[in-house]
Formats: sequence, C-alpha cells, structure tokens
Amino acid sequence: MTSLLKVDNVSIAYGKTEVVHQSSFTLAEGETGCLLGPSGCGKTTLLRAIAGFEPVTHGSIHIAETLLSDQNRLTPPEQRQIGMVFQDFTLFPHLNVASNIAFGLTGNAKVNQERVDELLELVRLPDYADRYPHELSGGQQQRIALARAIAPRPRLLLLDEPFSSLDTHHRRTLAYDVANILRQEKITSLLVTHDQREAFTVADTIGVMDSGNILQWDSAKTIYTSPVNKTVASFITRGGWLAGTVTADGKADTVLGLVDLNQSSLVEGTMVECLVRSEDLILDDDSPYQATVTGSTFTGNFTRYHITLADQTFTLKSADAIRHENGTSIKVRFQPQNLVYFTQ
Amino acid sequence: MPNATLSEKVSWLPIANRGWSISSVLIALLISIPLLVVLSFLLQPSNENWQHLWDYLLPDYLRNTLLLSLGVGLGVLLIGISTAWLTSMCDFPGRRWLSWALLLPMAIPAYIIAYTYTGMLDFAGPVQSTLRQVFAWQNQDYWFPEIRSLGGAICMLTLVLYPYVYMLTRAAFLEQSTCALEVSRTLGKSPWGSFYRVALPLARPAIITGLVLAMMETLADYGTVQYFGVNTFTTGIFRIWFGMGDSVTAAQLSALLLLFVFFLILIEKYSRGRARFHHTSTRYKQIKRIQLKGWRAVLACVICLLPFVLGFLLPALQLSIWTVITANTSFTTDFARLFSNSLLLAIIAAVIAVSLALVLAYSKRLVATPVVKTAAQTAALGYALPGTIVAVGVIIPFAWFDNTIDQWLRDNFNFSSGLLLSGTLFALLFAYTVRFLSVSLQAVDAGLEKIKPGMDDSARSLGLKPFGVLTKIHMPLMRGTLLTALLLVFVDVLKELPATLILRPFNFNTLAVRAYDMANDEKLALAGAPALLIVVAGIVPVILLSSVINRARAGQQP
Repeated sequence: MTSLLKVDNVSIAYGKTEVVHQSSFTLAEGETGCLLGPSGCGKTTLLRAIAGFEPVTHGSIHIAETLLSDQNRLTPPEQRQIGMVFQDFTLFPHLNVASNIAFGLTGNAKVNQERVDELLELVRLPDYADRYPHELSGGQQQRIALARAIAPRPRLLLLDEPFSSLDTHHRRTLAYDVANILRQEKITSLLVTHDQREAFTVADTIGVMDSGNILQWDSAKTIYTSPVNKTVASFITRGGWLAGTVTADGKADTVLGLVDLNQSSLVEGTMVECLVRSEDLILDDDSPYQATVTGSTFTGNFTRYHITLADQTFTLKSADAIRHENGTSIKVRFQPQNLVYFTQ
Repeated sequence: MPNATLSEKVSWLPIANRGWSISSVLIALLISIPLLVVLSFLLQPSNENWQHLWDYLLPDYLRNTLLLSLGVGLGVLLIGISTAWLTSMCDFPGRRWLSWALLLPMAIPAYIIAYTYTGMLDFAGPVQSTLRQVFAWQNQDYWFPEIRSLGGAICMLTLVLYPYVYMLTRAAFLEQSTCALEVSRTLGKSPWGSFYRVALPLARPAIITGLVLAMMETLADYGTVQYFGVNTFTTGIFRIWFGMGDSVTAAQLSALLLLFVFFLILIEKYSRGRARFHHTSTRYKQIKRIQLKGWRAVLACVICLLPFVLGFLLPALQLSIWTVITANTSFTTDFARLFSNSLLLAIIAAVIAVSLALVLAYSKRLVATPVVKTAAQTAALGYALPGTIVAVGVIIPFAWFDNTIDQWLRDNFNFSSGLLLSGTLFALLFAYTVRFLSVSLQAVDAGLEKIKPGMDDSARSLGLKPFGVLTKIHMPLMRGTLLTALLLVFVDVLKELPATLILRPFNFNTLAVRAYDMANDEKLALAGAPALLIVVAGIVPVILLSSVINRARAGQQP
C-alpha cells in the first residue's frame, strides 16, 4: 500500500505558543487513522492543519506526493480535496438535506441527483431528501454531514470529534455505522477523538497524542498490548500500576507475588512497574493475597471493585452474584494475559 | 355574582388577572384608533378633489415614491452589506473604531442631513465657491449636480438609513457559526463562493428586515422630500390637507400610502416565515478574520470610511460651524423655551410609552392568551405608520369629538366648549405614543424575557400581588432596560417632524420645528443650533445599540 497522507515533522503554533511539536505519521490509501488524546493535546489543531485552516511553522504535509503545507506554503482548504466532518452539526440550516449533500458537487443536475440518492442510501436515510436540518435528530444530522463530506469523493476525509455532541447510546451506534461505511467505501480517513472506545471501533491505526506530541502510532492491537510508555498505557487502559523489584531469576517481586517478566535481561534490584488492567485481576479464594474493597459499582452484568493493597489501588471486574461490601477483604490473584511493564 | 356571569359569557377572559387583560386590550384599542380611522376612509365616497388628484398628481407621487424607495433600498443594501462583511469578517487598519462609527449616521435625521448638504453644495456654499476660485469659473459656465432633486433625496436618505442594514447584517454575520464557512471551504468553495452561498443566504432574514425598516423610514420621510421639492405621498398629504383643506382626500391618500407599508410588512413576515435559520451549531469559535494587506486594506478602509464621513462627520461639522457663527442670534431666551418645550414633550412621551409598554409586556407574561398577545402586537403596529398618517388619524377623530361635544353643549346649554383635544399637547402626546410605543415595548419585552418565570412564582408564593411583583421584582431588575427604553423614545420624539408640524398647538415650537422653519425660510445657518442639539442627543442611543451588538456574539468574550 502506498502512503496517501504524509505528515512530516509538523509543528504548529498559535502566536508564540507551539501546540504541536514535530509530529510525523503516514496514512495509507484506504486506511482509517485516528488521533487519540485528552482535550487540549493538539489533535484537533493537527487535523485543522491537514485541512488547511492552520499554517504549519515547521515540517510539511503531503497528499499523494503533492505538497500542501510547509513553512512557506498553505494551499487553501477548498483546493485540497479534503472532506471534513465537524464536531457540531454544521449542516447549512438554509438548505434541505439534498441540497446540503449536493453543496460540494460540480456535475450536472442529473449526475448530482444520482450521487445524492446513492449517499442517502449509504447513510440509511433515503426518505429524508426534502427535510431541513432542524427537523433531524443529532445522529441523523451527523449522518447527513458525513454524506455531504464524502459526496465530492475527497481524497481524504477528516472527522473532528464527530460523535461527541451525541448522547452515549447514539454515539456508540453511529461510530459503528461510520466505521462500516468508511471500510465499505474504502475511504481514507483520519478521526480525532478523546474516546478510546470510539478510536478502537473506527480506526485501523491509532496515534496517541499528549501535550502536542504523537507518542505512538500503531495498530489498535499493538497499542493495547505493547504501549511504548506509561502515558500511553494509562490513557488506553486506565489500569493500575504494581511496583516490583527484579529478582535474580528475572522475575518481579511484588505485593501480589512473583511476576514472570518473560525476558530476564534486567539487572537484579531494578525497580519496575507492571500494568494491572481490570481483567488481569481475578477473585480467588485460594490466593494468599488479600486486598481491601474501597468502593464498588454494580453495572448489571458485572460489578467493578476498587481495591487497595499495600497503598496501591487497582480495579477488578467480577461477575459473581455475591456483593462484597466496602471495607471487607477479598482474595485476589494477578494473572496478566500479556504483561506490560516499564522500568522506573 | 357579576364576575361569574362575566367569565361565563366571555370565555376568552381568564379568571385570574382580569384587570391586566382588560387594560392591555383597552390600550391596544386606543392605539389602533388612528390606523382604523385612516383605513375607514377607503370605504368613504371620494369627492371631486380625488379626481383631480388621480388625474394630475397621483402619477407623479407614485413615480417619485417608488423611485425613491427603490433607490434608497438599493443604496442601503450596497453600503450596509459591504461594510457589515468587511467589519465582521476581515481585518484592516481602523476596523475596530469604524465598526462603531458606521452606526453614527443613524443619529442624524434625514431632513437635517438634507439641510446640511444643501448648505454645503449650493451656489454660495463652500464646495462651489472653492471650485470657482480654484478654476476661475464664472457663475454660469459650469455644470454642478443639483442636490435638491430626486437623486439628491435618494443619496441623503441612503446615507442616514444604511445603518439599519449594516447593524442587522453585521449581527447576523457575527452570530453565524464559523464552522459553516469552514465546511463550505472543505467542500471546495472559495472564500467569496462561501460568502455568496452560505453567509449571505444565512443572513438574508436580517438583511431583509434592515431593508424593510429603511424603506419604511423612506416612505415616512417628509422633511427631506419637502425641502428638496420632490412630490411624494407624504408631501401630497400635506398639500391636500393644508392647501386644499380637504381632510377626506388627505385621509384617502394616507390609506393608499398605508398599502405600501403593509406590502413591506408582508415581505418581511414572509421572509422570516420561510426562514428556518436556527443555529445548528452550539459552539462558536472566535472568528478568524481575513487579514487584508496592501491596496486591499486601503480599499476596505475607504469603503468603510466614506459612509461615516459623508453620513456623519461632514454634516456634523457643518452643523457645528453654523452653530458657532450664529451663536449670538441662536441662543436667546426664545431658544431656551424651544429647548425646554422639546425636552418636556420628549420626557412625558417617553414616560407614557414605557408605562404602557410595561402594562402590555407584563400582561402578556401573566396571561398568555391569544387575545392579550394580539393586543400587544396591535399596540406595536405604530412603528409602521408614517408620522404624517398618525397625525391625520389623530386629528380627524379628535376634531370630530370636539365638534360633537361643542355642538351638544351649544344645543343644550347655549355654551361653547371650543377645542378640547385637537390642537392641544394631549393630541401631540397621543400621536407620539401611537408612533413610538413599539420602540419601548420591544425593549421592555426583551428585558422581561431575561427574568426567569421562577422569580415571579417565588415572589407570589411569598405573598406579593402581581402588581407588587412588577414594581418590587421586575422593575428594579430591569432598571437598565427601562432607562434604555425611555431614552430610545425620548430621542425619537426629539427627531420627529411631520406629526409635530401638524398637531402642535398654535405657536408651540420644538427644536425640530425650528430647524424646519429656518431651513424653509432660507436661513440654513440658523437651523444649525437646534439641529446640532438633536444630533447630539441622537448619538446616545447609537452608543447603546453598539454595545448591544457587541454582546450579541455568542460564545465570544466581551
């Protein structure tokens, strides 16, 4: 696969404050990428630079080998053939659904009509051509916004937090639908979100951003199983951290027993921290390790417990019918699927 | 129990707060008297003057009124939209103060700007004198455009009325989500394409409202067209009333002019009704203004500077010069009386209009029945009535009332009461109230809407009666709003010319009337002092308006 979008060492500044620092990544033809990070990490700024709304102060942005942005160049947004779906429902309120979708089309009326019908079918709102935006629900508006953005067959589609104005339920279903549409139509796209579940639902490749830097650019699975540092791991899993000391035989000695570190190149006595995801802890009455319940949330199919053990806090999920009260002791065992740890 | 039978018979009258409902209906009926009187003359048989009017005068009135309205309409659109776009979406040297200064021409009544330009451009004026000196021209050997013409009237009215379009369009541009423009860019439209296809259509209802307001003012204008000798409906009404002494034909001509006004109102309503321009975006970004550089920046600056200079700075300078050179003859005891007359009239009218507006707006809040709502809407219709028509609609029923009483007293008691209502300050104040009630009602309505209904409920549950809620809760809370409403009516009354000319008591003069008299006596310089005072007073509401616009931008820190 050839790379379609190439972001090379890009820095962006508002006035004198640099908000994106020398960030690079590439996106292949047909691939769906995602910039994931907390609010204020610079992900939307980077997206807007790709769209052509913000100039770059360093580095370059190419699409299919064509230079779009560098220090001296800023191709206007309308000449980039990059579609964009915005966070707010930005349908034009004075145009009906069909005219909104046809807004960026340049062909003759008959061809445009066919394209509009095709897209209405694609976003599963075929009977809404004559409606006006204010007559649609939030989710429907966002579907039409998607149809409008992909109608002119852009080379790249950018989605800026497209689901965050919706309620939780619609957010999940729409993310799922959008992911299907993007794959089905083989649209190269880049999503920006702060929601890890959204990112995993929609994207093939994810870039985790923090404070203006792309920390890791990898597939969803790699990011989950092998995060490059603690920040990425914390942001993706929201797990706890288990401190340990490397033993002579290459294991980590922790309050939850000896943990096998797989490769024992570490010097004895090195301090390490192991990632503890909620699915890595299991309730086990035969375990010698006792933890205290500090809080619990019943979610229906399982209960999430917050526990402490030697001043370290973790969460674990249990499908047991018995509810452990706050302050009681439970016996737990650490059983990681694939261990992630970092030296201190 | 009379109350029970009343509520059974009259189902539209709710049991609670009946006094408020009845008051607002009574106010609406009183306010609509002039309108109903004028319209009723459409059904009256016409006399021989009508034939004369129809054959000789009306084609001229019609042609001039139409050309004037169209010319002014085109002019205000051109200036209003271009300056609104430049000051809201672009950045160039002077943008900040210009976006405020562009409102200032509103402070100058059209008839006053007409006087100043006549003074500046006529044969003995500074412009022609300078030209003659510089080029050594003789008196007859050059052509100079005649300002006292239809074209001149169009220019004068455009210069002072474009701020309506500018103000509303600018607010609409600022309220638009910048996202809408960005979407348009990502769909392949250039900045100009986005302006035509997104920004302009989104602002259309605001533009049309501004246009309709400007054209209503044009139809209502008397001072400018009279001074320039352009025969329109308003001058026609004056001529037939005073020249021929024929009130029936004058009223019929008024009714005809009203049809034009109604047509404008319909256009405005239609454009709003079709508009589904809800803001679909809830977040607003700071507008990223297009930075203009080089000759573009200069051009933008000139485009925004010209309307301000021509519409405010030059006329204000001319008025100041006239005031200074005539200071000795202008500021006499006579002038002090003029000044106090104007002040007193404007204050009383403002208090009446705001009090009635409070009753109407608060009744609507207490009892939101269709009848009460209709009453408030009816009472607000006066803004559409030209002052000339209000005057005709006031004087006819008042004269009828006076004559009837007088006749009855003579017949029964051999005693003449003379004029009770017509030709008194009461008639004048009534006309002002009819004309300007809507101005205060709009302000009070907006102020009341900002107070949460929960406030009323908690006050009532703590033992206050509705009147107590109004005086102890609402009025203190809206002190600023009430002051604004008073001020707006005050200034409008100060500027008002045609109704004052017709209805004022004998020998009772105001600043506006003095300016009119002096200008018509060819003593333009003496019109300077009263006109300057009116303009200075008119600046205050403009300042208020500009701060309202600046606050209109949602999501932007002030």
